[in-house]
Amino acid sequence: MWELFQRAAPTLVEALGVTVFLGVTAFTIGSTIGLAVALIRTSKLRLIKYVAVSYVSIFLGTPMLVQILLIYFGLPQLGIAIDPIPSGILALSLNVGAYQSENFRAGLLGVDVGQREAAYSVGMSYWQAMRRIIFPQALRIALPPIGTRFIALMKDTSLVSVITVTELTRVAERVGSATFRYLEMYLIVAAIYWILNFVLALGQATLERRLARPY
Amino acid sequence: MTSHSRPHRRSAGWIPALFVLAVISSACQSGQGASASAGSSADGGGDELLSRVRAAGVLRVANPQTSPPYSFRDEANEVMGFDVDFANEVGERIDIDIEFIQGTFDTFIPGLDTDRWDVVIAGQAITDERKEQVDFSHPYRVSMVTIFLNCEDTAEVHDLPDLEGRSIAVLAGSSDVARAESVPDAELKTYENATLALTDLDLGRVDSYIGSRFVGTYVAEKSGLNVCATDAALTLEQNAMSFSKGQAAFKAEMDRLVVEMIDDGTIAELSTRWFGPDEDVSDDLREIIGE
Repeated sequence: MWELFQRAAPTLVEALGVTVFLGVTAFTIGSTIGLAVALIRTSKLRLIKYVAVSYVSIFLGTPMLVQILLIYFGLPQLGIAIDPIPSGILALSLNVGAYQSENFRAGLLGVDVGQREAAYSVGMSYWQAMRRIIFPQALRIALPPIGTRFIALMKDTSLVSVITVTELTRVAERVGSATFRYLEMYLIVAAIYWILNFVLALGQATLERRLARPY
Repeated sequence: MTSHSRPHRRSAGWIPALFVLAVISSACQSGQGASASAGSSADGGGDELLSRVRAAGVLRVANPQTSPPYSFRDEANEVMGFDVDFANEVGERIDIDIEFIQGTFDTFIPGLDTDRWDVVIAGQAITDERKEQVDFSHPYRVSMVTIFLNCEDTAEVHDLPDLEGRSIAVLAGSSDVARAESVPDAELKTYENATLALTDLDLGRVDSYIGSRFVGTYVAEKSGLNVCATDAALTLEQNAMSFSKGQAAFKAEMDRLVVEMIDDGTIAELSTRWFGPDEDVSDDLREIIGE
């Protein structure tokens, strides 16, 4: 198995880069969307709230694989043809956005109402209260599910293999079918995913510890 | 009042690490063992497959069902095609029912190994790599592999090296993957079936396709895709039935049927029906089989 790994190593390294790129980009964009949606949903803007709720419902309620296939293979029939990697990032970001909006919303709702009342009574505006008081506390509450979502996203990037993106899973399929050594190839790739997520989990634990420091 | 939490420590991560290592190393032993034993499963003298199929009264045939005119589904969702008719002929001649199971080119051979099906009749090409994993019957069809381009693409492409620097679409697990990989500086894109690959060629998301001239032209016509076959004649592939190694009795029976069907004109009739009036390749087949 070691020589198979050595043989596939250059392709695997390149694919790992693609996987990490997809994960980080989709997470950044998705979290931004998620935060915006969470703020909308906890605000009083009625009309936009309905749009936000529908968006979350659609992307939480449909399988990610279907979302990816729809964007890459379905949209061209409406005249919108998007390249594989942008399609993947789009699908992953929208999906992450929906989940993150729920995480952030839980964080925001978890902060004691008294905090906001106290902030307003001291004379802060909405945004000042958000930035200085509410948000830091909300972030601490939301961090575990946010971190978990990032790790899950790294695994979900493997679904993008069905729209011809050469990431880790695709390389496993290709080298496996060329050499007929599927078991070893898939194990190698599973191990790489696991190591990647183990590092991320360590990072999350460190971050949680940092935020848990009393202030 | 300050809060003080003690988050879960990850220092016990070595436990799953050890477990993963144990699984991987045991898989390596069995990985080497499995590929060796798949070849030596002929302990019974090579007739288990044939006797089992006869006893069950049914032959499980794998095909893609997405490669017209070899195998596809019509509007009534019935499986149709050259391979389908051919398989049904085989079943009739040895008095056995045929059950079609859908697979893809990269699952056909694993499916034989894991006993999901008995034989693959899918316009599958005989290649040396495949011969190491499975046995083939005599070929029942030859098909030309060519290069497809978007019809708006006016480049002079007549052979594989002309594809240098392009992105090349192929079917995952097909014999064309190796061909595409041999082109210097080319980007390889694999697809689950010909329609998806050629649709991307039509949309411009990939700029060439290597595959069966017949299937490509047929799909392009049916789906109204703006893709055109070049005159490149990459290889004349031999399509044959594949099945697990070491099954001498089954192979002998299948070979006999192929020769019978060539001689009595069945192959000619099926070829003409599915591929067109000039597509009777019986003479080519006779030459290959060496009658």
